[in-house]
Amino acid sequence: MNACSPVVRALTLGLVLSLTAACAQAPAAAPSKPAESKPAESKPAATSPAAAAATAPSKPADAAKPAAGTDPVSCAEHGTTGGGGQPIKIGSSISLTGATANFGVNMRRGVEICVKEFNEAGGYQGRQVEVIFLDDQVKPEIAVNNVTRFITQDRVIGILGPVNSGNGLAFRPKVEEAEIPTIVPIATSVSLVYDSAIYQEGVSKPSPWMFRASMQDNFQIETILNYAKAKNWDAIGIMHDSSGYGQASKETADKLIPALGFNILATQTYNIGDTDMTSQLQKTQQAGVKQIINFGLGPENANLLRSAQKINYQVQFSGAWGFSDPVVPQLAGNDLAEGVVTVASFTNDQSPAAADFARKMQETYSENPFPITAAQGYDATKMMLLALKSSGPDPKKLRDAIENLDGFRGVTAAPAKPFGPNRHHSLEGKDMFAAVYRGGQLVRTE
Amino acid sequence: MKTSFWARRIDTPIFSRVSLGSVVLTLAAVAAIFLVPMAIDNAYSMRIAQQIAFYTIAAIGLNVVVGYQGQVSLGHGGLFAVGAYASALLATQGGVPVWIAFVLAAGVAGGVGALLALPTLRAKGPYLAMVTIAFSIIVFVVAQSWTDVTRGPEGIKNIPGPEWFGTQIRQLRTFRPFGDSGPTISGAVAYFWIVALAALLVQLLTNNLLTGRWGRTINAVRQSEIAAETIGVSVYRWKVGAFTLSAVLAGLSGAFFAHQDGYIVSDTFTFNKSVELLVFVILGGAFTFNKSVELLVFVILGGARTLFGPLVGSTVLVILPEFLKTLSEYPFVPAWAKPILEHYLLFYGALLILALITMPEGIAGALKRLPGVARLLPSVPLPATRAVTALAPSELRNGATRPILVADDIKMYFGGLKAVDGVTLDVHPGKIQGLIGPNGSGKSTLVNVLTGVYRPTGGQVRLGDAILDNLSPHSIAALGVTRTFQNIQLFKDLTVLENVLVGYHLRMRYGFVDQMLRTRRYVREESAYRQRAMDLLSFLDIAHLATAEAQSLPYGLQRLVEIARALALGPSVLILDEPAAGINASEIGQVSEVIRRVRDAGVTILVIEHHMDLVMGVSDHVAALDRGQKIAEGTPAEIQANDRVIEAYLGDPNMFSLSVAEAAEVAVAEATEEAEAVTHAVLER
Repeated sequence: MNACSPVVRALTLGLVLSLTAACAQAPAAAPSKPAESKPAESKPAATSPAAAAATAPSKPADAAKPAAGTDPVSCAEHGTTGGGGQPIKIGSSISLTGATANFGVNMRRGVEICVKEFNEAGGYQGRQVEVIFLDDQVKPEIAVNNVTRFITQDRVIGILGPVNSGNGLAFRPKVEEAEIPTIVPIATSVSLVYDSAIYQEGVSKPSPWMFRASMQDNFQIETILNYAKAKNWDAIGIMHDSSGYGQASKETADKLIPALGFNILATQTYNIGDTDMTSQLQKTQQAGVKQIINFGLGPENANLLRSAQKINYQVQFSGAWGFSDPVVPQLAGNDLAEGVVTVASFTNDQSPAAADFARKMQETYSENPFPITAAQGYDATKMMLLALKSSGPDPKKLRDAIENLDGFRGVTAAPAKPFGPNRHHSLEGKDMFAAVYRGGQLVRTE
Repeated sequence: MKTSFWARRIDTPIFSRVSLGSVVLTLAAVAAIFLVPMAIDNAYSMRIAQQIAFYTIAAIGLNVVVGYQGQVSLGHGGLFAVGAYASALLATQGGVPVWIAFVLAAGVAGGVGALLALPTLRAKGPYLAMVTIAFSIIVFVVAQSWTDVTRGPEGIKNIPGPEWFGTQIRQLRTFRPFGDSGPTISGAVAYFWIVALAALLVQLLTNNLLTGRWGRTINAVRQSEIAAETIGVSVYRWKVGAFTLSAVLAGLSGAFFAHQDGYIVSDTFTFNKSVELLVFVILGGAFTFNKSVELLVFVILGGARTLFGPLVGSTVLVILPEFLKTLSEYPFVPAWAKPILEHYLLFYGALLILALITMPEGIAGALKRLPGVARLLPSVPLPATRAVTALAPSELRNGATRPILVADDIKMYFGGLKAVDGVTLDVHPGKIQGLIGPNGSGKSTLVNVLTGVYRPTGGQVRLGDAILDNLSPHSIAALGVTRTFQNIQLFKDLTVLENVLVGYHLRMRYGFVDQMLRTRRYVREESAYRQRAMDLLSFLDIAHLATAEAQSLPYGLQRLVEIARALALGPSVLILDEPAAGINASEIGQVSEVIRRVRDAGVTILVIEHHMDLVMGVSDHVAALDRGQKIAEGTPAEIQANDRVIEAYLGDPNMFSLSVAEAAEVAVAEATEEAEAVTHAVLER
């Protein structure tokens, strides 16, 4: 009288077990890190003023701004005291479990630090700001559940998120319909914010309600290609995963490459979930590739490094910020990660403000495994709170205030005037820079 | 029999003979669907409710395949995606009205499901599970890569909602559906009404299907494919049919999903790990959580093979993670528990595992076992029995002399083994033909050839003028030859009456729509056949067992049920494969008596037997086999005196008093052999 055959039940049990395995994976990753990251962490924090002094002058006026301000950056500067009242709510739908949990968990820390500072400084005229974090499990339909809840039940004034572009694309119609401003701290796809998949300055129209504090894909590609040009790389191969992200990145790169005059010796692809890329790497090796520019995600990137080691292939790896994911040094080891070049808007050593933020993260959470996501989360929140200070808790006015922000000071390389009517991304190619792994930590390249 | 007030039945043109309780419940459900959202008009709660409703539709479909028909599908996530994309593309690219797109999308998914099932279900075993996993992966890759059509990871945007009196339904938009003076309703509520009413309709119609002939037949196919074949069920067609129906429902569910948010993206339909998963699932330790699995869990947790299991499963599994996710906001949760709750998916997984272990029949199955619940379930009263005098077509009863079933020089070789080597056997109408032979002499093989389980290597089988070899068992059954099995092949979970009703499969004329809608025609025919089934049971003296579950009966009675089921087909020839195997001495007399009674009612019988008392007692004529060849033929007395026969039985003159224990031993040996042979035969097809 079993409900179904033992085979089916065993199978289902197995599948259900997988659930536990899948979600246990990500959160477990974070606590396992401190031992590794702590000693390395303190180093840049101690030496950073010197490093910043060295790098800051070499940057044009724009980047000099944050360095010029001697005050450490704090969200407290936007707090105002007053009569108080009901808390003001902000919703954040991000992945706290699943494949990209690292991004969500560390971003949340940045948001929490900022909100704490802001609230301690009085909040908005004495009213506290409360951020509600809901996990989207990397599933678009759950992200829409979350955002619907924010809009109809929590009555939030703004939204921070998502981590995954697909989830944001799913909920974008909701925030547009409900007219709630959204700042994207992590997701990088162009079409999440603009009306087209390929960004063209002055032509692409932004969604009125979507803003981005993350590193838009096309600018990342531009940054890494410019780096390659500056370093006179002469034997370049392209690698990318077969996902939508990988393919779109490759297409964008193809458009930029002719102008830079690169001769691409080989192009290879791999799939999400692949663990062995030796055959692809052998082909690039045979083609004489000495530098690989790669568009992929953390776990596969780590496997790429390991595969190269297996066939004893000495090659300069570089790529978009998939390499910044802490799983790369975790899975491949610091030795293999050493020297890999990635794109960043933030490194702990890039400015005194950055070093100060790294210190705060370390003090609060006693680890900082993924500094850039924390920093972008912090800055996205800071933008919203600065706008709130002038607009008050009304979503429509808040949107206008975000678009017209001025005098912003962040910990990432975001400029003082991050947005404009036709520009809804705070970071451009010139604000991003190449970062390189040194001893398991990302530092700014010279 | 006294029926309770709520079980009283009402005569209506469709949904005929529905019980008063069901009517009240249905009306209550409709009222709840309409009124509850008016009270809680909250877009978030409504979204969750919509999800429950459309996942229920898909889960009901999957339950048909996994629970009732007994195949494992891991591809319903793929079919769900097919429905979602079909509906989205029809509405955005094709300009098809959304209401029509819903229907067409279900059709497209059904078509894809049929295409998937047609080649796959020819094989037995885990092939469907494997093929459907591959299918899910393919669907995902296509959705991801065929960007010209599916827009890949960019997703299809601005999928319109269905129109409601000229207003397009959008989740957050409010409108007045009942005219300017009516109440204001949000799109979320309106869409919930649509999806929930669809789910209710699907639930009612599938309930009708599953409790009628359709459900009976796929249940039968699950429990014994070979037995279903021999009473005329084309197992392959029914499997494909069940899979197609469930694909239609998965597609409909996907279509509702696509229009819920007006946006779909390939990421929704992902298989995180593609190739490895295939291996891992087969090893029983899969590790990714995807749409297909989600649906499967809905079904299993809810209670496979319970009518409302899919609804219960979907409800619990949609709400539970949402609830756990926000649990830390509730004031009763202590501060120390909050960091732990971040790992809410772990608890979710643990709860699922716990539920699967403690409630093997699912939540709905467990609820059904609560005291008092069984009494509330409607039951159909049994008709009174009438006397039966004739079972076979009348022309056979009256004096035909030509042999009715002829095996002409049958050869059946398995590689070098000549299991049957040139046997000719005539079975005369209205007679009991015995077939004896020592273990391994080829008796069972011959039966398998006669009933179409094996295709003979040489020779011909004829029924009257019809040539039977090369026909499948169900076609042979349709022509009037059926059998029982040495190792009894009843549909164990069905009642005795239901087992016999499956036997009327070929006779019943009402169609799919009749069953779904419970038309008067359905009710008329169904009650007529219930009557006939009862008559047949009383003919075999087992009418009092009609409502007993077949597997609960002792072996001897199960044998009689098997005979009753075979007789329901109205066969001209009934082949009894070792009817005495495994039953005790006191029951043998009863079986002998029944065999004679069946013969007297006009059915020609071929009885294959080890038990000499039985075969010599009932047979009009006996043939003996040894090493694949016929060695003797004649009256029982002649055979008993035949030297070659005596010698064949190891030269043991005491063979004819072979003890029951020894006979049982031999029977077990042959049963094992046959079970293997049957499996091979079905695999070959």
